[in-house]
Amino acid sequence: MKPIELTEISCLILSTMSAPTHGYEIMKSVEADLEGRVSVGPATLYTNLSKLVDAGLCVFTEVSNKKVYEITTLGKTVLDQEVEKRRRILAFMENQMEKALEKGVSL
Amino acid sequence: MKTKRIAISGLAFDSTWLSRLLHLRSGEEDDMKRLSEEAQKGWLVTGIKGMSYELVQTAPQNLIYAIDYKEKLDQDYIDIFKAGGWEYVCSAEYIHLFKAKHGTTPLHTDIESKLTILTDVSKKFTRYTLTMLFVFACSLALSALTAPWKIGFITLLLLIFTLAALVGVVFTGMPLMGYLGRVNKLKKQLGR
Repeated sequence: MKPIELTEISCLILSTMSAPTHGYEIMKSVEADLEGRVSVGPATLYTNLSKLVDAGLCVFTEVSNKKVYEITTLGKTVLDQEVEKRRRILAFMENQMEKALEKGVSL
Repeated sequence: MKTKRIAISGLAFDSTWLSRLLHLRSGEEDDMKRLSEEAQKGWLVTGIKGMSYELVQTAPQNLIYAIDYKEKLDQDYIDIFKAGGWEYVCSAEYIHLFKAKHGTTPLHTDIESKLTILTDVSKKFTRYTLTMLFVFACSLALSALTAPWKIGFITLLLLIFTLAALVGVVFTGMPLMGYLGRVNKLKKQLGR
């Protein structure tokens, strides 16, 4: 297993795999749900999927010649940690903005 | 149905300041722009043969083209690209050409994934170049050992083989330099 540094894109991809999902379904859901706020190209998606499999964060099975991806227990743990980390960063930023507002400075 | 061919300008490379100055087509980006211009004139790519793109005349279309690299093409890969708006056109070994409507999200939306792919390709060309260099060195040594001052049939054969190996070194070494240059450029962009 190759260790991986989870980027924003790999976190997004991993979060779509709570149920077994085809690669093209991941592409479609990322496109539809993010409404263009974060662009994920198909080659970027495919490369990240391969990295996530290599790191043991998700696995795939072949169903009718098509790969179905699913998050592993390790993947869930790592994703939870990443979500928590990002929550803290967000809370920190909100806190800083509130403090600035209290001082009458807008960020 | 009318067909024509356009030479591939060297997919391993990025366009250079010199090619831009002289308005010469050079590298992957320039090739993709040219194919897009051809589509607007009604010429669509149907395949890659040898060192050229094969095009067929049809109705003008507003398309963009892009290239991706992958060792083995599979349906899953093509389906993901299709879901992203990219239609598979053709392949030449590990090089795959896709087309899409103008405005479609590019194949690569991050530098990291492009870097991963180009690093893999440059590793492949490093292996090819080193193999060709080894063959060239062995062939050159054998030529030297077989008394080159007495040019006989074997010496001549070895010299021809050495020259062929040298051509092989150039043809694998040039793309290697191109890919390594692009990898270094991307690494700089990522601050590595």
